[in-house]
Amino acid sequence: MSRLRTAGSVLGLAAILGVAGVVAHLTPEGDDWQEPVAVPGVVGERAEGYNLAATVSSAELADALDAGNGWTGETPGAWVVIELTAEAVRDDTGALLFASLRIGDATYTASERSRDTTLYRTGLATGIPVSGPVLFEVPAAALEAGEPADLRLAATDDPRLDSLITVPIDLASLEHRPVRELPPVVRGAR
Amino acid sequence: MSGGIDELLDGATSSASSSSSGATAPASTRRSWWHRNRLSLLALVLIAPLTVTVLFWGEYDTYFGVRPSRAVPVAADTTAVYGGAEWTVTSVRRVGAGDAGVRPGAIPDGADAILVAVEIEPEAENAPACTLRLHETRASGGDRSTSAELGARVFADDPLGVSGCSSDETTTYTATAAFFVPADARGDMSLDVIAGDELPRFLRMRLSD
Repeated sequence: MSRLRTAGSVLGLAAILGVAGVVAHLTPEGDDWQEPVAVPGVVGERAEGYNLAATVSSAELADALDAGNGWTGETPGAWVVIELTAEAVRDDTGALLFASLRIGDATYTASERSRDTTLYRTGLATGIPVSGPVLFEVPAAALEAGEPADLRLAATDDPRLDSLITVPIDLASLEHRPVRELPPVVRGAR
Repeated sequence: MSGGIDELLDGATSSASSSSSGATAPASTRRSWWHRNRLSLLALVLIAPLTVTVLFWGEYDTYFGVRPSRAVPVAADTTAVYGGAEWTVTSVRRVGAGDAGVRPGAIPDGADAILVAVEIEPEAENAPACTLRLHETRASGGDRSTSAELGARVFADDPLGVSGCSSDETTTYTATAAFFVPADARGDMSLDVIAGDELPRFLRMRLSD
């Protein structure tokens, strides 16, 4: 009887240690506690996060930009021009405050050089799409390396604990123009 | 070593009985470790959730106490008292971009405008400052909330456009608000009236169909 109790106690202790080990293994470490919730998307299809829905319609490379309002963007590197449609899902308290392009290990934040002709930092309406380009100014070497690229979008400027729409962009397959005319930012269905 | 585990889990030795009698008690009268510590265990069961509640309640209260998180539902065509005023929705109108009288370009393509007028009768000297929002309750896909279009002028013959709330008013006045919603939005619509001094309470006034 005593041996049976001892065996039961040892098994109970082993079970507790095992569960503790699993919990310790599954518990996020460091900054992982606040990692954004990734929402995978693809070009041409709508991706919906907590309070942001976006559809990437096209992506191109350009040596220079023409906003059609007198502003032209020259760069020693290259422009990645991504056209997309975005809308708020739940409420319109946010905007497209986070837009970045990750190429390999490097992250490029969307450019604000074109001011009003970018969707970056544009306010979002609930259920009503707004369309326009998001622009990234990247060094030529970043394109030549042939590394994988992801467009990342969120409705808050700090996407921790928020959803983060992630759309792979195949930079090697993009058309490269000397000058790219920028479409206007348009509110409403196109 | 195994005897120690047995004592911990099974209470093989009763300290109370052995100390009082000076001899080991019969097996049938030994009390288990759980039984001897029942009061402490009961206290632990009560104190553990209480500790968690106390720790998180402050954060919870701080976060939601300053946000419009507690809706006071108001039926359609009903006057409500809130924030030092009486509130009555006097008209609701939904128009599309192509409707007669609508100013071209005033409403985004694929959207409708919901125009709401609410009569505000201040109880005190000045009307309360407020924010008006449109709340759509949907059967699926989650609820949606839309802020008023400030300065919107939907109709070509409306020189002033929407007015919103004003704390400068001292007598009964009518605030107007325009909300743009998707043309296919068919959920139950309510007007949220939010007065800063009343947070987290706010009115959710059901708009008549």
